[in-house]
Amino acid sequence: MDSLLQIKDLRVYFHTDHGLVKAVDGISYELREGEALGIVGESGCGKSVGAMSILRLIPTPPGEIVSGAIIFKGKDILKTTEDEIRNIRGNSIAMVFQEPMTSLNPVLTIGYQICEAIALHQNMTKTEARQETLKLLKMVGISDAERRINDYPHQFSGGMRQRVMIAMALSCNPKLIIADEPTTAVDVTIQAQLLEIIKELTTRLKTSVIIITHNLGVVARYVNRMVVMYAGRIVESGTAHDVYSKPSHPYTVGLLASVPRLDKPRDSRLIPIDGQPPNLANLPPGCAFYPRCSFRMDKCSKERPELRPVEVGHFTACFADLNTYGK
Amino acid sequence: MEDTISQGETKQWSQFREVFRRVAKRKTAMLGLIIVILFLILGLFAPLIAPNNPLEHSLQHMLAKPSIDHPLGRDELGRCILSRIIYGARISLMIGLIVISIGILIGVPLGIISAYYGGKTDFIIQRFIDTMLTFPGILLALLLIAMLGVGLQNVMFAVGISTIPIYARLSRSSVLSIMGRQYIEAARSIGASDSRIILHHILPNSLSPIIVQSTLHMATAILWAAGLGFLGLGVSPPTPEWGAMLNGGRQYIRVAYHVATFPGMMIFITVLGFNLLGDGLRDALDPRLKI
Amino acid sequence: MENNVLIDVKNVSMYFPIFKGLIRKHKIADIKAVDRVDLSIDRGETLGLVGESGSGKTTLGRCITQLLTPTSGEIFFEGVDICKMKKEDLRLRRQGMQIIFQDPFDSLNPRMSAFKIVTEPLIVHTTTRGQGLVSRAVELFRLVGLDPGMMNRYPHEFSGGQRQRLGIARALAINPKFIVCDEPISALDVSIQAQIINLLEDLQSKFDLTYLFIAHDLSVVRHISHRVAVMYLGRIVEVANRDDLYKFARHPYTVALLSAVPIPDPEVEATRERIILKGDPPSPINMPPGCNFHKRCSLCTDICRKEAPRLREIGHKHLVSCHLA
Repeated sequence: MDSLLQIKDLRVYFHTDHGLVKAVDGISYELREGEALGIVGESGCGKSVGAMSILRLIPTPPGEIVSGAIIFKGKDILKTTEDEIRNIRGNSIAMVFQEPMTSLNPVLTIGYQICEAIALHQNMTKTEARQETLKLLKMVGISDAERRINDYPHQFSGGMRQRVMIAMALSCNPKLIIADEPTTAVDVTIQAQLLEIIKELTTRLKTSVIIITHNLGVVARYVNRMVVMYAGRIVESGTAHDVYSKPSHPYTVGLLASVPRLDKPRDSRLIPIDGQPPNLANLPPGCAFYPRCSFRMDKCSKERPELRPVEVGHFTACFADLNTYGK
Repeated sequence: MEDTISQGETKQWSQFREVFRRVAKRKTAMLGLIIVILFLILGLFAPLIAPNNPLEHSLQHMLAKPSIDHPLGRDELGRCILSRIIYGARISLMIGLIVISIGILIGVPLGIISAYYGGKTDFIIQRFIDTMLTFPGILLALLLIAMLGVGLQNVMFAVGISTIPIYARLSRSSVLSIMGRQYIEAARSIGASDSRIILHHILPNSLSPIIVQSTLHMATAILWAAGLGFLGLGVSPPTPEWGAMLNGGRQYIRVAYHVATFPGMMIFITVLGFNLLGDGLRDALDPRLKI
Repeated sequence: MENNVLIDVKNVSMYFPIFKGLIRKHKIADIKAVDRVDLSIDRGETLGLVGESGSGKTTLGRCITQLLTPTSGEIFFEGVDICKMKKEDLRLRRQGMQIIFQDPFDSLNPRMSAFKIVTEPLIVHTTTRGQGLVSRAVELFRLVGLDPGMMNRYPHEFSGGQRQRLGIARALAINPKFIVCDEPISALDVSIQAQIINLLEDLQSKFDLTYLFIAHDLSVVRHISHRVAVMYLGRIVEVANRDDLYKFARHPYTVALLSAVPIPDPEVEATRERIILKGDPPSPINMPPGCNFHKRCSLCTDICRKEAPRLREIGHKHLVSCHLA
């Protein structure tokens, strides 16, 4: 599998009234063709900002892509012109947003919006585009597509709107789909449907997917590799299998221990992570997780840990060796 | 388990200071604030600031040009223009405050009751407001003056009444948006009475648009009073009101422009000041503040 | 046994009428947000109420706390029907029954200090004032794990988790017996959710509280509840003890719901069976006759299309509303 996307030491800062917010503070990862990558973290960890930077959708005041490279199909997107990036958006890289309510234009029919996306990037006549749209709607499970193609967004339920978004994302055969919290605003049963659709379609069409979520279960089910983010930094990365079975960063350990699980017998207590989420405008020097870490050492408050390998393909940004502590 | 707060969150801002900080960021708003403060100082401390008696006339010095004793010159009856302007600030301040008070004290409760109780109450009050709004403000004011006669009190009363529907509408929409918030439900679930909910929960949160509106209204009130004064319908002579002064100096504009110009400038600057401040406050009190 | 029941919901329905017409409005249909629900909650227990959006769980919660008056049915709190109470009596009854709301940002008055927010129930219902209020506030702050030194701060100066603690402190202020927790952790980060769940459990054992825990996250509900009720489109489809529900779920919707919840363990996930429901929930306006789930049910038979099933007991305290269970 070839490398499709490489993020190299990306830094995105925001200039706010309250100071410089380092939303993304040096992240690097790689995505191969046909691969599904999960980016996990809580609110404010920088996962959405990182993803939006790929398509340069960050508003440039107050945001700023300070440094780093985003290499897509061999070219650094951060250095391309505005025209070139517009050509990529919706075409080679498509994005599915969290709120299907607000990402669809309420005064245009669904059919129009999808056809617009198609017409923008592919050379098709109106009829051809319409045929293509019908095909897509059926693919995402909207059964009476012929009738629904002329409906407006408000006539669809939340789950169906999200499916329309997926159809729009797929309309130009992108190489990469970025799904930003695609299921947070929908019910669990609809979430299952949508993710199955994404999974099935991407396997069939060999599209790569980045799923951004805070839901550890979703990641376990749907991705090959994952990346855990905290305070704008990557703290752990590896295959889903490795990270879940041998979590090597205290934050990952904490997250897994604090989430109740359906399949395990009911433990008497959840083990929460102490303390409060970090203040991105005022991070401590050294490791950002230091104030909340039960494995912390002196060194951690002074030096910022870099990613180091735990085993093949599994990295952690922590000075402590958690596996010697046992679990 | 004690929660500890991370460093960034321990600043104890009061909301007031935060608002001030936001206002200070816009230079125009600061300019407005300075003008308004100067205006207030003039109005409140007029007797201490004015160099001369504003009512003392001296026909031999009529239309005198600016001099050291009378820095802005004298008007058509020989009175000191500067002193009259300073006392005029006091008059305008008084007019403005009374006008706004009438509008707020009657309009805001109407709006709140209308929004809180809804249904028929809302319907009736709204139709009443609509009727009032069909009259252009100044026409309503003139109508009231025609009925009540001229004079300072009637002017204030008339202009005040005509601002009621604006405040009623404003507070109504503000309250309506607050009604849907969870903290109102929470207050209800605690068992708070209606009056408690209105006074402690709804009122404090609906003040922002009213503050902005009152600031802008001060400007309008002053302008209207000046306008009515200019038309001779406002204060009675020899009260030093800027509009009346403008009227008095109108005919002498070619020979002694200073008589009309200085009052005119004062009106302009003061109205501008309140408008700039009002705009600045509107931005500063924006819901984006997340307060 | 009877005396142990704190809340008894009998045949409660909440219908929202839809009107059409400009001049002469006439009703064309009802939205049956809650449809003939029976439920009981024992003293000291936590009943979990799960369902997806449109299930009616939030509406039911609001009916129980009388923020909404049900269209029909009775709700007994300590043996007294609160639907029929006069406004003033109800206000007094509220002392025993409190709510923790979902949105930690919106459920606190932004212009009231934390102290005022937490002591407001005391001002409304008791004569405690002055120093008495302050000491009670300190006590409450400590109970929920907040630093009493922050009493004079305003909501926006607290984090989401801390605001939710304030909401809990407020609910505890006048020693209620029953607390409705309306999605209290959905708006919080994962790492903070566990803190709040533990807090709620601790408070329950300390004060012998009874909870109605409304949520859509099944894993959380399973953890904190003793019994769980599952709602679908305004009706209760299954009620069981926590472990029975997860091991022996009988209603097809419950089974599908359970299988849709992803488990944070790739090995387990790889081997799990997944039941994907087809279609979308029908609109609550034009509900089909018969079982309200039949259109999406893979086991649907003739009787399911015609007759609505009733809740019946199929095991120890295990009730299901399905013809085929």
